Amino acid sequence: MQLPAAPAPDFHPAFIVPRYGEEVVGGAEDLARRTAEELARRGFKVSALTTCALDHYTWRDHYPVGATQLNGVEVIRFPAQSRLSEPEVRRALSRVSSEPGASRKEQALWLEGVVTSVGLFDHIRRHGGEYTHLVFLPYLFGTTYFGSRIYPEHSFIIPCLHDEPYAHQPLIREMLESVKGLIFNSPGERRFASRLLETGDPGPVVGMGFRPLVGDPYSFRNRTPVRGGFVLYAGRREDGKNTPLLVDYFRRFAASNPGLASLVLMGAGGVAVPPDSSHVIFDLGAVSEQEKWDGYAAASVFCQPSVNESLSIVLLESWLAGRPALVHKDCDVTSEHVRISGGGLAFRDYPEFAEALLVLLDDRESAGRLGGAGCRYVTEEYNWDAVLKRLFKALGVKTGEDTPDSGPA
Amino acid sequence: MEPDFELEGKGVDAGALAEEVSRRVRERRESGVYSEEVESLLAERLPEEEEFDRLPPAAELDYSATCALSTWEVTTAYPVATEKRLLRPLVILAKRLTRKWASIAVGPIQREQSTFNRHAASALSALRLEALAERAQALAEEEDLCMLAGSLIDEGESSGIAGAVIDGLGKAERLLVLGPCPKGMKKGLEEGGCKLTSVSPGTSWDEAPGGEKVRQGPLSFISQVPEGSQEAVLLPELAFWLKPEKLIGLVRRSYLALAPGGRLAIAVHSFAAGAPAPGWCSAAVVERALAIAGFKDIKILTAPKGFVAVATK
Repeated sequence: MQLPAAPAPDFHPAFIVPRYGEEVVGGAEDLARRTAEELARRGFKVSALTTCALDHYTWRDHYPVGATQLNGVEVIRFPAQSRLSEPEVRRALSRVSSEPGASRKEQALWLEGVVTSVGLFDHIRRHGGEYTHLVFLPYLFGTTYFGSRIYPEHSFIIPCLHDEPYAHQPLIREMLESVKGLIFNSPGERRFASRLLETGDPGPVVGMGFRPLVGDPYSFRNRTPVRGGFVLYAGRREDGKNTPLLVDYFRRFAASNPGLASLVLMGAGGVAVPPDSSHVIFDLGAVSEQEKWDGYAAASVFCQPSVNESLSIVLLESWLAGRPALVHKDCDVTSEHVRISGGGLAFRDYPEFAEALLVLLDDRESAGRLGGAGCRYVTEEYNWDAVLKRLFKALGVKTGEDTPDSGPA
Repeated sequence: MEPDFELEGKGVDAGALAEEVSRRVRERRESGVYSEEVESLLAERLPEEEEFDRLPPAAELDYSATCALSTWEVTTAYPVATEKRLLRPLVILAKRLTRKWASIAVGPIQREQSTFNRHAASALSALRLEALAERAQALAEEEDLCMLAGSLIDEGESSGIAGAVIDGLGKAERLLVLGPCPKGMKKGLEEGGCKLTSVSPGTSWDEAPGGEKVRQGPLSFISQVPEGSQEAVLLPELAFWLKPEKLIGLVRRSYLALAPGGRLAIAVHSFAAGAPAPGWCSAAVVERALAIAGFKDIKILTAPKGFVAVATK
């Protein structure tokens, strides 16, 4: 499908991410891949410049070095360098992640240490001019910091910002101010950037589009031991995503409301399910894309407890499957999604979590209507036509069609 | 630029539902089901609280070690067979040749794999033995403490403490006794109408069929009890006699194990109630430990000898 007014044929952006591939789990990486593939699907030449790493803890090279094609996108991979095992870098990381007063040396050490790629930077230096736009994401990796300094006048950053100590480091602020443009995933993220950079207009909101798969709830039930209604969480399982909090809250909820629902967790990373809850909390681990959509289709409620989201792809996907959502009030982005769409409820503490969940599980009709409202919201605001129009506008690409406004800018 | 989505509230009154949730939370808070003080205390969980005093997973290690020990040696000498009757000699010969070729090709790798497997199986086996020894040691230590309790406390004193526990707890249908508990006290509690929970060391528990067979649970049992499941818990002082940190850990874990409104009693006999007993067995320290764990309505009831601290979740 071609946009009604397409940009010039020489449009050739490069997305620069620390990891790229269908096996890679991560919101920013997913955003880059899906956007690149959508552009490729519409006939544009798109490249992805990345490292060979798959695992964001070890940054060990997994993919072969060199160029390859993935779903129409030219992917060029370079060896990754990480110094995370060095004590000096660990100390710098610890300072940067916990305190705002880390020295510039410590900040630089952190960015050098977390992940860089000499080969990638060399490629940008030699061939960066051949791409019409260099789009870096997310903000907190050496690939973005050092890469965007090579051609700042052609560079855009999709920072995927969260309000976390890393974002407040002066070097990050300087990087965000030095590039040609910033692109945000949601109005909440944009507002945070506005506060962080002390500017009224940090950049437009673009987001990403979705191509939903058809989920099969029966297939999900056949594959898993889950019976009855359940609350679904999909995504990385780690402290930063608040999964331990969800497990803790759900244990208490299940003890007070026996037999009402189970909790199903999907995704990469570890999660500790207490032995006394193994009959109500099911950890399915990493699943395929189709299995994830089967899970959405079978779930009663989708819960996103994370407070560190710049878009929350899984939340929007679950809405496309018509599930009502339960999100954390302390996350500006997801609670704003819920407020605008009317697609769910938000909680701040256990009592609110328990009561909201009871409402969603007891009142199926209202829950269904919330899911429907969420679905409408995603379909209207996060469809690829709308997203790509916003992207072209954000990148300053002439499309021949001047839309007065095409979305959440 | 301000965000300009225009979909707010479309098709469903989410605001009304959110207000309904707030109303329910308000009502529940007013009725005492959710206490903000308790919620904030619960939010600050102690380090390694989930793993409190958990014994090593002997059963899991036993299974894994047994499987590993029986399968560590890999071989290319797999059995050769065929269902084809007429061509049987030919097929068998071909398969044998293939097996021979495979053994030459992958022999060195197979030997390396077997060596690795052997070491891994040995390590698992050693871990299993260590876990079994650790578990046996933990249970033996608790049994020793039970015997010690018996020699330190006379029956009359224990029944007096049991009376104070019953007074403090009021009517408790089921009482979980944790750690070493003198027989006299258990007898007194049963005579006073308490149904004591019987525990099989390990993983299962059920109601005691009769007074004679009642026994207290090992301290590690509290880590297996589902949160919010207990009506009342009794903690005799010998459970934390040697280690003050046990007092904090056990009280906090007991708090989690109790249902809302559940009660905890800590019984301290005369030998521990005053000097030269450890200071953390004193009433003031026990009271403080209960407050730290999130308990309310803390009372110290003086028995003829010793005291009983009672608190409500």
